[in-house]
Amino acid sequence: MNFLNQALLWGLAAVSLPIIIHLLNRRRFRREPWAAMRFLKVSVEQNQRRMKLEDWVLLLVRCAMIALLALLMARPVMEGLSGVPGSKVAAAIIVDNSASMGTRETESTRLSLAREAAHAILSGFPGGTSVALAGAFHAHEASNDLELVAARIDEIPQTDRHADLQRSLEVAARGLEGQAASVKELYLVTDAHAAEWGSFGALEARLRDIAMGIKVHLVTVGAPVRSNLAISSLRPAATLTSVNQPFRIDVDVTNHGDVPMSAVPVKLLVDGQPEGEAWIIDELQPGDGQSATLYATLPTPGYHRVTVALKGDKMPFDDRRTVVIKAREEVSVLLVDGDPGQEARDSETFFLRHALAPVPEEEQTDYPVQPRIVSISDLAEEDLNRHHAVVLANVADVPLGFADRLSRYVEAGGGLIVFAGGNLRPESYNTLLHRKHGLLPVAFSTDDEDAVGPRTVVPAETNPLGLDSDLLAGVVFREKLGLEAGEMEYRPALRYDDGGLALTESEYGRGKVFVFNSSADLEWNDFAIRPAFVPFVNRLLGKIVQNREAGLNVEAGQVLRHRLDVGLAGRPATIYEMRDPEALGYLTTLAGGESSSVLKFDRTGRAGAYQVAIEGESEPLLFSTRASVRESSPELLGSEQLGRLGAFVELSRWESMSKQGSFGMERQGAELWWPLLLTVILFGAIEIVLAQWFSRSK
Amino acid sequence: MDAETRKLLDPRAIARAEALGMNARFIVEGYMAGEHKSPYRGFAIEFAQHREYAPGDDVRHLDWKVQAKTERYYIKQYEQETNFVAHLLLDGSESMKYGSGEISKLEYGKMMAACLAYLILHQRDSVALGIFDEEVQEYLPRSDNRDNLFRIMDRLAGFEPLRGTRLAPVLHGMAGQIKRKGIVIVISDFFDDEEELLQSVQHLRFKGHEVILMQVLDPCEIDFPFTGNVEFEGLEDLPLIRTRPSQIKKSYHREFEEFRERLRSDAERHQCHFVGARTDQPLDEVLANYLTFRKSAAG
Repeated sequence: MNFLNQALLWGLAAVSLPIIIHLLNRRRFRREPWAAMRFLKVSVEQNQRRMKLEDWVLLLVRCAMIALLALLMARPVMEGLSGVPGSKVAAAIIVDNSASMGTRETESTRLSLAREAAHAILSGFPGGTSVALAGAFHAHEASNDLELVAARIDEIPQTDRHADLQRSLEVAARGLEGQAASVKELYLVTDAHAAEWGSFGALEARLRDIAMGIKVHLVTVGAPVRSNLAISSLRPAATLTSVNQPFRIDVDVTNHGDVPMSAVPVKLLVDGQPEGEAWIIDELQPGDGQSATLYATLPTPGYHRVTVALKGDKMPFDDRRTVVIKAREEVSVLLVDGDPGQEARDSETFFLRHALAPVPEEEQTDYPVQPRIVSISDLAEEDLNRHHAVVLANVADVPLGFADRLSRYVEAGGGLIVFAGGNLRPESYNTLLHRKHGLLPVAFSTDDEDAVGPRTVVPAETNPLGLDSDLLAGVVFREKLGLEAGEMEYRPALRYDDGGLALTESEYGRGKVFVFNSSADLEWNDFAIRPAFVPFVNRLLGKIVQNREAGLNVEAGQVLRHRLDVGLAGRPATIYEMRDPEALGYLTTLAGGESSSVLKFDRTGRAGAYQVAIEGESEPLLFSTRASVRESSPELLGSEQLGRLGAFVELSRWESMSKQGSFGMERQGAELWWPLLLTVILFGAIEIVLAQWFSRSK
Repeated sequence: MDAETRKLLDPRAIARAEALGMNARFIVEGYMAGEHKSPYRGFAIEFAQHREYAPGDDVRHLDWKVQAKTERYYIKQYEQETNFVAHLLLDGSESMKYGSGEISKLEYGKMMAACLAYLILHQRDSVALGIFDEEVQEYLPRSDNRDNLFRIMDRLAGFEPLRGTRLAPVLHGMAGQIKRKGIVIVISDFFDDEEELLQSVQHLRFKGHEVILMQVLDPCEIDFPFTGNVEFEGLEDLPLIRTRPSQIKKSYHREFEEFRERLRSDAERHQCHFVGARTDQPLDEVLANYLTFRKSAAG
């Protein structure tokens, strides 16, 4: 026998109450002087035994009643007994709906089989059972309405996410532990995909703990798959994607199966339409990965879906991957020249302009990057918002009014690149842009003892610009300004060979800021005439331009947080899954922030492109999600591992309708509160009758 | 000055005695006013002397013949010849102390004795008073002097019970002591050995006394209305009895009523009068009932 509310067994101590009351009553006598003692004595002697007997009987009945009441509250369960009315079953069914559950079986998918199994489990519960249904990522409240639960089973969606089964088990077990029921059952319906069991030992230990108080059933579905080709990476090589300008896409394909694959076609689709010839991977050995190179052209300005697809296999979620890329007709850069010089070549921005538009003069009009050079005195008339980035090249002082405009511009999403030089006066930058506005995360220093001296630069550890260190190695830096880091956040992008900061990258509002402490001309280095300079300048610009689209490509299940213009805050938006045109859209509202509005969306379970229609905006926003690569391995739990789980978990395998009606057959254990309640009522009635009867005068 | 005298002179004792006397007179005269005739008629009454009329004297006793001769008003005074001796024996044991209401059985008994004494002396008969427990504690020899009434009242008022009851030896003693036949009135609860009591009554009867047993009981002793857990403490040094009275009520009633019935029937069997009284019953009503009964019995 077991008790569902064991703590209430302490209530058995209340059995002492009638005894205590009895003993106290025996001590509590009202004293009465009396003369007719002999008649009293005779009467007492005649009734003494009967009264004692009645006292004992009443005391026993009362003690028994309280003991039974305490037992009733503790809800005893008799194992091995069934069919007693009032016995309650509490159950949780977890239906794994991770990406691997989308694996194709003979007639359906693993998730379809799992749904069938869940229905069969549900039909095995007695009426009144409290059932909590959960997917791998979302749990419903427990319900006694089994029809509702059945409907929810059919609504469990297929996702392309990686499942954390331990977390799902924890949630379900906690829910069950909180319920008072004679029988507690936890069903995990899964394909036993090895990757989802993470650390098998930890999960096994946790399952063992759960199985101490809950009957755990592991219902496996699906047959093993031997081959699976997966797109494990998709990277657009270009940082600036312009209309009708072809750009390279690097794709990694991995063979997760145990059979070699040959002549694997890798196709490219732009906005759902095939683009160019498929790339063919000749041979792919088990466990190996190979890269494919594809070229895409975006025909119009705006957001485009670029999809790479393999030939579909049994695990389809990783056979396609889509990224969203925004194409621009023109990228405008404002170059503020701090040292125009006598001739064009002497100008501080000469090399910058050519690096940004590295084409002959006559072709520059059609070139997507449009640099515009101004002097510091012309800035007052310049509309900064027309430009994607502003470059301050060896500008001596930052005018007060311009500093204010510049901070507002960057905050709203603009880009700022600062190049040092002999004219730059650190006090002006440090006072206005560093300390006042916090636009520059670092302060310039003239006290740097190592300011002068030949040195080279190397990419920082993460190489955010993706620069070739060999190309950088040939650049000689003769002079620089010191950079002093404050409390503001930044990332080093380039360092000198002595470890000193050369280039920092930071965010300001929606915009991005780069600070380079050497010159953009040949005054302090020979960078401008080295091959590394053009990609360096373009990647700085590319990072600034792409910054606005950062975060538009996330992994399935991740929460999308994308910053938009502050003016869009509070506007309603509808999000559609583009792979399913008939699917209903999700309604949301853009949240407000300090300098931007934020689109937040957490229903990113399926991989693919999503379209966001924001009220009042003519052009929809696109974003994409990718399936988790952790789901691509087809490996399932082995028989040895299942055998270990079988020591404390009920293992069963579900094949279509194979075990219909078999769940719940072994369920035993009945709660005894109903018969106990009847007994308590009976004892209560007996107590009342006896108390009345015994108190009658005799 | 002996103790007796001191007691008599005790202002509080006097007040108590006066209060008792006044109470008895009030009760008896209330009864007499309704009856106008003594229930103990047939005793000789002889003329004694004349005395001059004073305001307030009963005009019925005016001697009209003397008035006609002397034109002065004289009242005839008589001397009643006494042939009736009443022995009032009051149980002064501790059991008589019991009283659930305003008055205890002893107080009621004292009142009853006082009333009877007043009544009897009022008729110029003799009254002797004995207060007893295990033995006679107080005794006033017979006297027909009305002034004796105050002494009777004083003795009654001043008596405080100290011991248990032993009726039979007392009655046996009285039977041996009293030479002249008379009426022996025993006022008690009779919570004593019934057999011995009857023998002593028989002894009194044998000596030619008329015996009247006046049983004084408290209503609670008859009704036994107690509830809950009660520890009964015997008034005559009997051990405590703890019980739940409600559960033995019937049994007690049965025992008690049987006792009363036995007492009544035994009294009748020995040609004694038995008068039952409850302390919540007006005393004049008890006396009236009994005296009416007696008058009718006397013819």
